[in-house]
Amino acid sequence: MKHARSEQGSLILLVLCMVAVVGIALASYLSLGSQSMKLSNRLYAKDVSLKLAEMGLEQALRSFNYNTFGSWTLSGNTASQTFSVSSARYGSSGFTTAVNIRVDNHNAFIQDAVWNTTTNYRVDQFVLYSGNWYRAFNANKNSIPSSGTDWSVASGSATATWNISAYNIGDIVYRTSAWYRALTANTNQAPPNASWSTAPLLPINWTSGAYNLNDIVYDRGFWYRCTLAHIASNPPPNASYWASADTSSWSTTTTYLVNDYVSNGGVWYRCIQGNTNITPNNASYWATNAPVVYAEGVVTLPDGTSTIKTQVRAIIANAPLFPNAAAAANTLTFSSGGTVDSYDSSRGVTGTSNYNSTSSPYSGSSPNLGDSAVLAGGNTSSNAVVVTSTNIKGYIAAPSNTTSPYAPRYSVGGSARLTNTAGAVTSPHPTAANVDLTRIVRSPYIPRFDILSPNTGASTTLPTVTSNLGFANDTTWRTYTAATGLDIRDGRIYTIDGPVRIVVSGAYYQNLYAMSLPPTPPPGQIIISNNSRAKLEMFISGDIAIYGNGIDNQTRIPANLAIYATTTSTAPDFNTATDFYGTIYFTNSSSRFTVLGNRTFYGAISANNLTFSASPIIHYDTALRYTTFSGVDSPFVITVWRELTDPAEKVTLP
Amino acid sequence: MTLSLMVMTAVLSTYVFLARNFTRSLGLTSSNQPTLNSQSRRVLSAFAQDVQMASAISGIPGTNSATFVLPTGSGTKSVAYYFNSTAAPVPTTLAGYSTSVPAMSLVRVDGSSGATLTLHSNLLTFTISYYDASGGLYTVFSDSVAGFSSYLGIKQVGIDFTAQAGSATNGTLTQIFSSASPRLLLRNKGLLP
Repeated sequence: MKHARSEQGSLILLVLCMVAVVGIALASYLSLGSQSMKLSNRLYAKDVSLKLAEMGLEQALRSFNYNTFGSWTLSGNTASQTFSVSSARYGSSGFTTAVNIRVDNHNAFIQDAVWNTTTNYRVDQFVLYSGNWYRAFNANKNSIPSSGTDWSVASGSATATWNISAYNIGDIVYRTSAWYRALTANTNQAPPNASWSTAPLLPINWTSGAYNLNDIVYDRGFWYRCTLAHIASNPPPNASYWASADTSSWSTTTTYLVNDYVSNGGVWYRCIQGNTNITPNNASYWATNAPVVYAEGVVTLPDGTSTIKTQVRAIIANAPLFPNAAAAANTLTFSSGGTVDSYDSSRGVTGTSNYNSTSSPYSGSSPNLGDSAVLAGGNTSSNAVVVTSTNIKGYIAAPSNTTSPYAPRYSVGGSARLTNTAGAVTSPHPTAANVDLTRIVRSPYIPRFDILSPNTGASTTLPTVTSNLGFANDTTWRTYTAATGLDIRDGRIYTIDGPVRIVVSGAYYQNLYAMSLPPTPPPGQIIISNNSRAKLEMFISGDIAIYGNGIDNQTRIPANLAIYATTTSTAPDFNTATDFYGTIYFTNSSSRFTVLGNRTFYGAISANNLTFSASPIIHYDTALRYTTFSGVDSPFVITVWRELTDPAEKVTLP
Repeated sequence: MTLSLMVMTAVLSTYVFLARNFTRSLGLTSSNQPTLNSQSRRVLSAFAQDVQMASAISGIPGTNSATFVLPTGSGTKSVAYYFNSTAAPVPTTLAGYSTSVPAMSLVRVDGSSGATLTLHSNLLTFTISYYDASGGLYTVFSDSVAGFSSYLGIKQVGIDFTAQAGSATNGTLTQIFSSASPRLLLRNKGLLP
């Protein structure tokens, strides 16, 4: 009996041990599953937080594109906003979410607009009111421009507006026929003196003009700081006058004093309060000219104790309008020969083409001649780019076929050339030995942005006789209208002296008929004077035929001439004896633009269908890649996007 | 006695049943399956973060390797990915640093510091796919092959891979674990060639 009880006890102990083992195994399994679930949830939350941060960026981009930050909390040049997204959008995860956004220099791209009573206007902003342009010299809201309290007339006839008030860095004032920008905070320091810069009207994009020490400009995708005051046309990069933001990086160990400059993340920052080891994105210590967006996605997990944050930083700029030398939304055709190459119009002497120049900063061994010209077509059903025998120093960009090996849709003749500047071929095309396959690209980018309707409320009827249009000291556009079309056949000459817009309702013919009508009258022409503000934008709603002497852009800067055309009923053509320095934007039409003759282009041309029927000479101006054209609604895009993984780079957001 | 035997039999049956199921699902490979899961998530997370920030692809890309150029606060840096599909370690130079890539592993090398991280050590296959702006796949990586076009047109990148851990010999071999990323846009890559 005793032996039996002992056996039962042993058995019970054994069973208990086994149950314990199974229990431990089950507990471990449940713990493992739980931890795995937590890990999975956290990774999901990380993904969600990145998406939320992206949402914040889009919100900021939308505000840039709509030219309003009205719903944001504004503080100086900084705009901030916080919003949340319903938990229901994340299923049963139980996430609580928030998006925090901060935009530094939200007003960097303030555009011209009709004045209204509800906008918070900043200093230096232009508005149109009762047919006149006004410039704000005080930040204001609902202050009628014509009252003179906060606004001055903007085009050449402004009155003195500086007073003994206190001014902050960056404030703009007008005094004794000139505008000034405050370099340091000051009170009762009448400009000109050391507290003021004498080059206040320059935009953040580099233009030919006067720059003072520490002026900041944006040029071709990079930020530069002026290291030596200068007046001549010395665009960056130029080590004598400019420092790149890619150098002089901020350091954690350096002690910075007020007005020291450092670069961080591709833009310049100025120290506004002495510090050591405070990152430049801290707005209490550093200021920048660049529009920078910080967006943070915040996800709080259901337990309430864990928060996952992802922060991203983006720099904003206008999308380029002319990234290609010649582009067609549909088909681009070079029917014969000709040449295509590239150069940079902004480097060198104003009033000369600077093409293939060997003058400083260029040399005989390194002239102003490049191989960056892109010929792009967008046709996705047949050949988008057709080249017969043209000599191209650049690239061909065409969409890919839909079947393997997804080759680009293009064709080249046996005598065509596609090379670098030296004419070298890395990988020859099977049937065109001088076409380099490494220069044929599958991702064409052909912008098709809306053409803006110019405000003609304050316009003047375009004279029908020889006339000077605009004035050399104009700071805003003057608009002229031709209500029944423009036909220059009688020898008249329009000389453009300032920023001028010509709005043509109907066709624009230049010397089209004069050439065949005896007796031949003297040819008409449009001349853009060689002065720093002369530029012309033409808005054409009808047919276009530009012949004879065409348009003589004496600034020799292609960005100073833009022809926007929208006709869908006719096929414009072009054949002028004068070299064309400018741009043609015809992408939103369904028609074909044809260039006849062996004509010479400096600039770029973009159309729906584009044909060069003879042998053109095209010199693509690479400066156009970063030029903003006011006649087109170029959207803002993100130029640099980074997820901030270094804790030191992250900012505190609302 | 009889009752004890019945209880013991029930307990043992339960244990064996659970053990078999653990073996089939997690059980004996429970240390492997979560590892595959976490390694795969780490690959997807790191790769997505790098590709979306990349401003360019450096050199000739391949289906098992790629080097991306990333902007930083003070310039740029290179980040290289390399998958060693062989059964032995492969010595190579990635992002300027000499390293040895373990067998069947994916490594990430940070060109700013030389830090080498083995993101996954149990891969069966790993493929990097490249796409143009309209989604066309790059299938040719040699300029001597018909259909070649410049790498400059690459605008999207994706990965897919399979992994398996354990050993069939001792019954710890896991199921094949498949993963794929979405097509990731090179957000900082210029629109121009």
